[in-house]
Amino acid sequence: MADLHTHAADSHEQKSHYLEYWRVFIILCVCTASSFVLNWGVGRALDMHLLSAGLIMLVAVVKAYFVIVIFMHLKQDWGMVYPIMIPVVIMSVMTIIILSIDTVFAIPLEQRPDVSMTDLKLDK
Amino acid sequence: MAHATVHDEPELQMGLPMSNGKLCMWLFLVTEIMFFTALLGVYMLLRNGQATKSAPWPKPHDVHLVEWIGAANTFVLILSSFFVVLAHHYLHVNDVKKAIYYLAATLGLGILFLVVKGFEYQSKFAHEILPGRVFERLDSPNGAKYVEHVKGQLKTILEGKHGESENLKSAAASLLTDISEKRLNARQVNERVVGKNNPKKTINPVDRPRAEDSSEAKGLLEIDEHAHVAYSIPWGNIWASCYFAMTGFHALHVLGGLVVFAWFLISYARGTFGPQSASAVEVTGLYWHFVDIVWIFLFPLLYLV
Repeated sequence: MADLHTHAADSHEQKSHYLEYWRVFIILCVCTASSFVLNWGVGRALDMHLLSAGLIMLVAVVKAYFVIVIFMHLKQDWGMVYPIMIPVVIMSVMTIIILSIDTVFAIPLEQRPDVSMTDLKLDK
Repeated sequence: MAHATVHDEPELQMGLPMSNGKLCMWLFLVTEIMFFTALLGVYMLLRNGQATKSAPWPKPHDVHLVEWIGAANTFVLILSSFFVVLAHHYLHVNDVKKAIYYLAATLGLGILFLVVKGFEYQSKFAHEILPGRVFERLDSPNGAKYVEHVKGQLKTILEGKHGESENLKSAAASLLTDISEKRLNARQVNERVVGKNNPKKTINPVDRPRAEDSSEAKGLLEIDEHAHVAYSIPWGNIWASCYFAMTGFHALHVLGGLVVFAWFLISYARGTFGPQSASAVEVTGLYWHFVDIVWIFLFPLLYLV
């Protein structure tokens, strides 16, 4: 009797996992389409490239989140893998931020010294 | 009097309640996260640090990248990731046949991804968008080399070996005459190749001829966008280095995953694949999902942003 209950519970759990995989797959497809639309709509039609780039990268982070948490079962395994994941996540986020401070956040493209324009005037 | 010996040895305990394979895969994946983070970080540094207003970073069209092909390849990898979790799910419920179908489909999708990437690489080789082979900044001594290179390519077009149209040939002949009679500088040659207002290719201010030297003639790449003739792409060499480093390492990872999926199919044919393989499929799945995540970031960085 107890076995029957365990089997029923296991089967129910498998079914709910199966539905969750479908949900995530659909979310990932929608996200991919939305980054494509953001690029055309916000980036090109509205000419807001920085906003579109930020939103597109945010969508990429959301997609990666769903793949890691659901497809890679981090939701269930977090309690076991967090000691190796947390330092790496900190290090990788820090790497991206440190490499981006100067070039992404500090000097907008328009304010950069444009050496090539000087060359342009000198050259025939 | 006999003394009873008591063995009070502590019981062996596992470090973590997960299989060795899964733990090793997670450890491997964290090293991979750092590897690809470094590649992406350096790409972002170069992409945003080098460009100026007059010589911006190459747009996807300038380097023969097509957004919808990148998006389609993203869908292919997402679908393959979904199939791997379904294969693992069916092994859990003892439906080995369905599991192997999904693994075979994953293998097929992985191969499709690499075939598309192969065509993309082929286009880069055909147009010489390769590290050290791209002409950029025509105001440097590169300008003279560029004109010589284009001369050679125009002669090849005139031979018509690749089924070039008459329109293209006549534009090539006229450009070749103007170059031979030394009527054009490197920037003017570049403009005649690309076309003054070509919507699919950019002539950046740094390479644009002076207004009075500008030509209204239709560019060779406007007549045939696949014509094999070089044009200036500021930062093209460093773009090509980044592109091949990132997509090349990613493609190698895809190839590695495909070898394992092929091995599962061989095991099935030999009768050694079954519900006992669930753990191996799960570990391979972890690797495959990671490969998918790397592409999730590569796609927008290379094709969109």
